[in-house]
Amino acid sequence: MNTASTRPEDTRATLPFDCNAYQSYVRGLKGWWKDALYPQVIAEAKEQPAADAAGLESRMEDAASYQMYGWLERHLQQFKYVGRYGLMPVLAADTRRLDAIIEAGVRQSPELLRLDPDFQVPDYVKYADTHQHPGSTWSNDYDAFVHESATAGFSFTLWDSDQLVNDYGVPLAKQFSPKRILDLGCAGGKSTRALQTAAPQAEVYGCDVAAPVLKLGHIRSLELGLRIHYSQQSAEKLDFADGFFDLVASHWLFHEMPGGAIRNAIREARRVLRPGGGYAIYDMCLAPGGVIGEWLHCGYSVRNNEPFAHGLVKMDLKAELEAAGFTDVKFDLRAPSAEKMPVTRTHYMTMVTAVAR
Amino acid sequence: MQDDKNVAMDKVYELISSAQGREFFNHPDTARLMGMIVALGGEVFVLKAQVERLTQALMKSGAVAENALAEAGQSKDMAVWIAREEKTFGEALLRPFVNPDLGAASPFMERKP
Repeated sequence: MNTASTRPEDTRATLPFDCNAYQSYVRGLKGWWKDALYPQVIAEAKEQPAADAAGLESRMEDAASYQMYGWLERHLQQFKYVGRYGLMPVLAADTRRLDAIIEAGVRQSPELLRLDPDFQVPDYVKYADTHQHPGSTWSNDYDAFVHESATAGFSFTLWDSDQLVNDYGVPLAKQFSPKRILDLGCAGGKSTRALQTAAPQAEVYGCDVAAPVLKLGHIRSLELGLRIHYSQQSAEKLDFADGFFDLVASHWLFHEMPGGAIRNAIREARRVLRPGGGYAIYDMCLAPGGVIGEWLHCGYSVRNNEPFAHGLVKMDLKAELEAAGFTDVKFDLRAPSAEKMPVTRTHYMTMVTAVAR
Repeated sequence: MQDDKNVAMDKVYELISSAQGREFFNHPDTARLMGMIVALGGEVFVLKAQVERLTQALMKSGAVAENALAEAGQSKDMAVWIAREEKTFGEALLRPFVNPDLGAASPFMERKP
């Protein structure tokens, strides 16, 4: 939408005052949950020594603090989406305008957006309602605006655009000097645009299984004057030629995939990378904090409809990568440290990098 | 290489998943009450925000003009108020669950005459 007559705010979802106020209320409750209740739960858990996470769950299941923590973790996320002021009903009521934005947007530079009307969304996406977003990002075009508003509304560790470029895109661009980059599971293209900004000379591609977010990602990229190639396809089965890319990256993807699908995606990434090309996985690959960390991570996985997040930390990613033809596998736990629990609830992200043999 | 089912469904995962059936609290009615309280809190918060918006509009314009409400809703003052209120309101609402009685114990009550 790089027409002179269209201002960026014309393509944004507009939340009514009451909805914005309510979202702020939910953010406030989440703030207390992560800053006050989380440390209390950890302090109480430390008083309940257990050999493993299952033992700790049994010891803590009757603690009022933990019961409240679990309820809030699940239900505050629901309040964000559903109910009178939830993003779903509010934006569903504006579908006419939002659909028109998408319809007009996809007509701009259509050569940069490849959608597949026959594409079958994988079951692990279709039936998960990931993050408790009803219908997730694939059902309706307005889901893309719900996703955009939800991630802007509250997330502990979703970086702002500048930080994403500086802390994620630039280090990868420096390490691998890519001419062609693929961003797997790119959703609305936030990470894809960060990679393009960090490597302005590179040809950048983003793919995702959900058409609505790809369409909105296409619109947002054009608004910034970025010519990114988006396509609807699964990371498990790509239609790019062997050795086509110098860098394949995935930002917050693998925790939403079961182990078998991750394994397929790793093999497929190796196929489309040239020998010597770089692979980067930015996700919750490790759960720091020992037994308590694993216990809370597993609970989060259950409570927030991210059923595969627990499996990811159990997976031997190094072995999987090496078996698929990668070498020089490195794990960099960005936050917090490997030994200590953070003082406030946050995601604990790991950057995994590897080089194609 | 692990089997997918084993990766996801180890013992702790099964335990926590089954805890969902208890709706987190020992008594399922607690979850229902919590849902009502938080929904009610949301209505109160929205109402407070509306009042604040109206107040700011009146202070700024002297009377309710056509664009006064909309302008106040977008104002920096409103954003500042919201940022302060979202923290203090959430804390005030949720604190009683884990610290339900801040009152000093009375020896007369303990003796149960």
